[in-house]
Amino acid sequence: MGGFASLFKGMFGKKEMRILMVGLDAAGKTTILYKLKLGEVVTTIPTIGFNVETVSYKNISFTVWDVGGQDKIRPLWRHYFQNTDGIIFVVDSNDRERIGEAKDELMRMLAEEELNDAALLVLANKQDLPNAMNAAEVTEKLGLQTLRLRSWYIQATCATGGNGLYEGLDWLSAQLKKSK
Amino acid sequence: MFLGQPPSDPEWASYTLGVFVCLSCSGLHRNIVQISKVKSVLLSSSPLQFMDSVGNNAAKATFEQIVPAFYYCPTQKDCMLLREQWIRAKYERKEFQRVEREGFLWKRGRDNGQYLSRNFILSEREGVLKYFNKHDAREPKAIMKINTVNATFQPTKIGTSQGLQITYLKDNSTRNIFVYHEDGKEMVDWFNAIRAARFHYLQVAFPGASLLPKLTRNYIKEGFMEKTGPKHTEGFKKRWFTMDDRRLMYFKDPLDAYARGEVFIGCQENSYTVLPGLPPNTQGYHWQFGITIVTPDRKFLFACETDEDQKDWIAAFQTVIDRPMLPQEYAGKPKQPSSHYSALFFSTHQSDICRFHSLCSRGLF
Repeated sequence: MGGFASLFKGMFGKKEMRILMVGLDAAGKTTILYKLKLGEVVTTIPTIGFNVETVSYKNISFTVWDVGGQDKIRPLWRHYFQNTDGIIFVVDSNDRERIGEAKDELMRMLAEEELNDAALLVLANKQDLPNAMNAAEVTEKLGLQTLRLRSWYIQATCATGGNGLYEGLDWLSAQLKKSK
Repeated sequence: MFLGQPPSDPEWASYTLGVFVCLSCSGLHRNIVQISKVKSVLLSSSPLQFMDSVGNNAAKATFEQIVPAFYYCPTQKDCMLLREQWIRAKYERKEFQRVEREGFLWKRGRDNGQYLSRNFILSEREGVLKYFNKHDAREPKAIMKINTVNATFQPTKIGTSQGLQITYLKDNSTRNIFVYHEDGKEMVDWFNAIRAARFHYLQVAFPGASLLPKLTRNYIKEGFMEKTGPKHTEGFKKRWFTMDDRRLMYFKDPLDAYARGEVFIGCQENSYTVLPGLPPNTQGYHWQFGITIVTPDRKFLFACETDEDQKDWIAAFQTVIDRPMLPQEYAGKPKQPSSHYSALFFSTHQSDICRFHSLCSRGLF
């Protein structure tokens, strides 16, 4: 496509972004997905397998794959890695016991070659709970500051209230513009 | 917990509550994450050993102790709303659990005023609040029947923001104990546990009545006044007064365990009146702002330090006097003074009691 056409598409056409959303079980992934899609809080059941929805925001069409987080189905995450532009890693900020487990899963995933170019958005979810770790604490516990050659961003969220979700998408869309 | 018959191979479990649940309810459990954390039995790599020690039957014995007979206990087939509210009532709000609470509180010594750590037990099953002096003591130092217990925070009087005054009736006279806990949350939890125990008790005694105002009550007014004896010839003495509902109690020290005396304040129709000032020729007072309370049996004379104090006390007495008596209040009047002090400060109000009995016999109550 010529320079003019691509500029034209950039101005008016709809861009697409493929997003993989993962995290430990009961972090709030499905709640986030449907809050973005429907604007409502739905009562979810544990995801066995995946949910996928397209969410349009700021002229970008995000295809979000929400994959179940139960221990034994985490190895299945890798089947979704191909062509992923961005990873949303959801953390239950209130679950101090399992933050180490979350870190292990995150680091294991980021070591995969297929995800080398994927931007990482960490959502420090469940900020409405009284004992929630803030974004700085989650950053430290996940060891995000040790990441090299990876563009990452952390956003504090409360999925049920919707707080922080669109701020996260804003950052992801900025990454898309940078890379293209 | 399985609503209805559990299947032989449940797939989901709350590993904090130790109960197996169905997939649909596991989602509801995840909404109360502070209470319940859910894992898949099949998809979790760590074995769910804790389930042996708890399990659904044990949890049921804990969380469903006092489910009211009318309460609708949903089954798996019921709608989400019913199931969710049942789960929240049971596990989050713990509505169906008897209150059993045990822990150490700092209690003020009756005689020396020293605060010592005492083991307190609140048992709804036994209907009592009790405490033990020694760690290994078998017999409690005091047993307070929950139906007479009141609790009210008294930060100023006790001198700590976590200070709680607990009162109960012993031989129909009021006994005070003063306690605190360093942790404010712990103290408020005790306070609410007392309210919960009283709520459950009163629910049985007065089904359908509005109980919330009866759980605990703050005093109508407290403060220093001067008083004289029944002959009005003794010099006035400074005393700490507490107006608790219809009981006017006075103490030598605000933190005394027992009142020196208690006056029952009835209502207007029973010839109780409060007036500013003292009768002419009254002598022996130091404070200038007098109050006279007229009861069917005698006049009580008090003196306040400031006119503001006098107005406040008169207003406090007036609210009580203006309020018509409830049948129960005739029965709840203090009897003759407790054996601790030979105060000549009581009246038995025989006439009121007779009147009440005659109303009863006519079937009006």
